[in-house]
Amino acid sequence: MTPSFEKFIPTKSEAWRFSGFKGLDLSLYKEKGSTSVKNSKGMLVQGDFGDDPIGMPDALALPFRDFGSAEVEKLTFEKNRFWHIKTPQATRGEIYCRHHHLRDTSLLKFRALIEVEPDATLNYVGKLKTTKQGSCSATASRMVVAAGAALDFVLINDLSSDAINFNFIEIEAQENSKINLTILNLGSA
Amino acid sequence: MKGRGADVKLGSLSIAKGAQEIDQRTLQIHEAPNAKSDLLFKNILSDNARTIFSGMIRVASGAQKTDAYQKNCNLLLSDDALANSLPGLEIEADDVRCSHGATCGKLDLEELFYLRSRGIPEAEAKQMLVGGFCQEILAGLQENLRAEIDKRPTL
Repeated sequence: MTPSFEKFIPTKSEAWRFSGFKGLDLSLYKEKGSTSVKNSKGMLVQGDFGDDPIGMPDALALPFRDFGSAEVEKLTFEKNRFWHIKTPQATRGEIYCRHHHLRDTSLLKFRALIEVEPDATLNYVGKLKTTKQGSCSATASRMVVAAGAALDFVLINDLSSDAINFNFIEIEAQENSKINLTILNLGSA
Repeated sequence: MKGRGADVKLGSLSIAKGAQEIDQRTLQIHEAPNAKSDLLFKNILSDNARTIFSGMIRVASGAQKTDAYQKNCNLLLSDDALANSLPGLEIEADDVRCSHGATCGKLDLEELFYLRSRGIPEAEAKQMLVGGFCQEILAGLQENLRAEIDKRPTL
């Protein structure tokens, strides 16, 4: 058990209980306000996440042209806040989201609600990279894909060999929605 | 699956090395009729790595014409690696198509021999076979992401 894991044991923390859906109540996210994603050719969501500062400038300034984004709109979320990302009805959104976990024995955590409204399309790529030993990451995501909407969600966990990582993902698929979810755990590769 | 006609594909590829442990729990809940869910989780294990896959497809009584599938495939690259697989079904509707499966095995020696007989060095041949195992998951990714992952030496 690493020091950061000792600090954070999900099953013992009411705020981060992963054993049920209680902590993923929609109303909890909506109170925090939402970020609307629409008609973007490319979007980067980045910032400081977790308990520890992770603001490594070069990591946060990575070019995203490799991901087909001619225009990159930057969003920064406040630390330790819930995310509520919404793709409005009949629009198309694209998010590339990168989390870097840069310090030893640190804890990174976030919860997100991703809503795709009717007939909208959202492409989401999330990358979590830990390069330090003994780190601990915990994420909880709830996705609601409305009638006729489409979501293409890719999560890449690129973790150091002794990192501890929890991902909780809940997807609600409504009428005639289309969802493609891919998770890659690349270990210490 | 809360809406009629919803279509969900779930794919995962995990590479576990050293003493890593990967524990995956999935639950496909079908509450509406005519919905489809298709899950494929693949694991590659080497050294002393361990993976656990525990999946469940649950079909409610009103979710007729459900089409649900769940598969877990494990590739063991070491004698000391351990993969546990527990697929499961709970079906309350009577007009559904649901199935599950799990596989666990090492690299196919005949395939390896074939590649080596064509002059491909053993390490490269193994890499090709492992890469082939991954392709079913990676093929669905955007080209730029796939290219990034293909560059990794592990694959």
